[in-house]
Amino acid sequence: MMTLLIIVLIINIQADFRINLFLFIFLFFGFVFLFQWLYLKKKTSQLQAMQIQSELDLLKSQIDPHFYFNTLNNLYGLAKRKSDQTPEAILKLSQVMRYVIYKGKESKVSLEEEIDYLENYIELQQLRTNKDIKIDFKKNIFINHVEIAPLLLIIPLENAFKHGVDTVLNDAYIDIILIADESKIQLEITNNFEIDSANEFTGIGLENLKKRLQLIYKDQHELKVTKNNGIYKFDLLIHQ
Amino acid sequence: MTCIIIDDEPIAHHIIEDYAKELKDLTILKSFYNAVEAISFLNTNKVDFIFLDIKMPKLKGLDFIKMLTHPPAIIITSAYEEYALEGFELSVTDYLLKPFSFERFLKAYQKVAQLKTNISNTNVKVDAEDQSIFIKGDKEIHQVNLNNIIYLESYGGYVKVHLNTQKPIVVHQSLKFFETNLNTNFIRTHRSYIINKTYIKSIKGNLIKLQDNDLPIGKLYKIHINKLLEN
Repeated sequence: MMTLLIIVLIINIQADFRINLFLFIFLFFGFVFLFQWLYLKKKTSQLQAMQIQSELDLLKSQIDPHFYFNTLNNLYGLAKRKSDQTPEAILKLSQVMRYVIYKGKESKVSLEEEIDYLENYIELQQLRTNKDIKIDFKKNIFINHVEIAPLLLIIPLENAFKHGVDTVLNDAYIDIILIADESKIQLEITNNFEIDSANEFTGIGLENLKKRLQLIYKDQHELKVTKNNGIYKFDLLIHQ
Repeated sequence: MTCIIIDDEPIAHHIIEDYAKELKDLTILKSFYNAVEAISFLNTNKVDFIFLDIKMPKLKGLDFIKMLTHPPAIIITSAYEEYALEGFELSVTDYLLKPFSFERFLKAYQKVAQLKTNISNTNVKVDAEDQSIFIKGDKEIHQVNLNNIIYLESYGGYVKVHLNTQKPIVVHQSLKFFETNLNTNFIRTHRSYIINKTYIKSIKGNLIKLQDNDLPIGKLYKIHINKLLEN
């Protein structure tokens, strides 16, 4: 009788101990997994942020280097003939470079700075050619201070020169309209291009722009590009 | 020596013009802002070489070279480095990266001048009527009627002249020389071949059938073949 009691007791104790042990192991691993999950989650979001940043940096760096070499060649030619245009052109180029090198790193700049950059770029481009290019830049800015991601608006302007003006023999034009108010920034660029050369248009610049817009102004922008009868039209709307 | 400039940027013209003034025996015959205008000029005028930009409206520099059946020597002037390989495949003489110094310009000029002296040495001489050619090979000077040349093949620093009358003659000369100096009956079809049009039996895909053999058509020279059909 006594022995039976002891056996039952032992079984009971063991069962109790087993349950405790299971509970302990369960909780232990539960915590381990929970911490691991939290850690991983934090790590992934860090990685994602880093990835977005490096993606943005990479996309930004795709600005055409040939512009600089062509401009330097023109400066060289001007300086060689001791042209009065030389100092002014050097200043323009240094402003462009300063903007790209320093401001380009910031996440936002004032719209005015971006506009100055576009205007300097246009003037340097005009130095390159003896063609009669009609460039009309209309600015309708209705607010005092508005910010924008740097080096965005240059991409369509660069394209208008590279795939438009540079392909047309005569009567090249670029119409630029920039509007900024409380609710939006809108850029519209219209230019003509040589239809034969259209096949060369790879659109890497435009693809990068799209990716950047997606990363910076997700669900906050509208982009429309149309190509019709030798006329290219770029229309970007950024909601504030 | 004579040359022309093809570049869509006026300041690029100024630089070359100023450099050229320093060289007594270099004359710029004409300057063009696009390659299309230069083509008609080259049809009626002979020049020793061309300063050629790559990125230009309407017709790009490299496409322009491909269109010429007998291109003169070419010095590319460009801000783009990445076309150098294709340029040299089209056997341009030199490639100047903008901006370039007078010293670098001079070097390119001397390369062209060197090329010209190589040509004027007496290994090959085309007669005035374009009927026959004197070729120095195997210590013997052969007179060959142009009609008897089936095709020319690049052979290291030599050219193998395949004939329908006798075995091939090997001559110390560049294929480029023949390309510039033979008449329009001869077309460059490959980096290594120039073919006498008269002997083409058929063209199928990338092969040209001649009397006894088939020769490949180079990618870059396809445009010459297409021109055969246009005329």
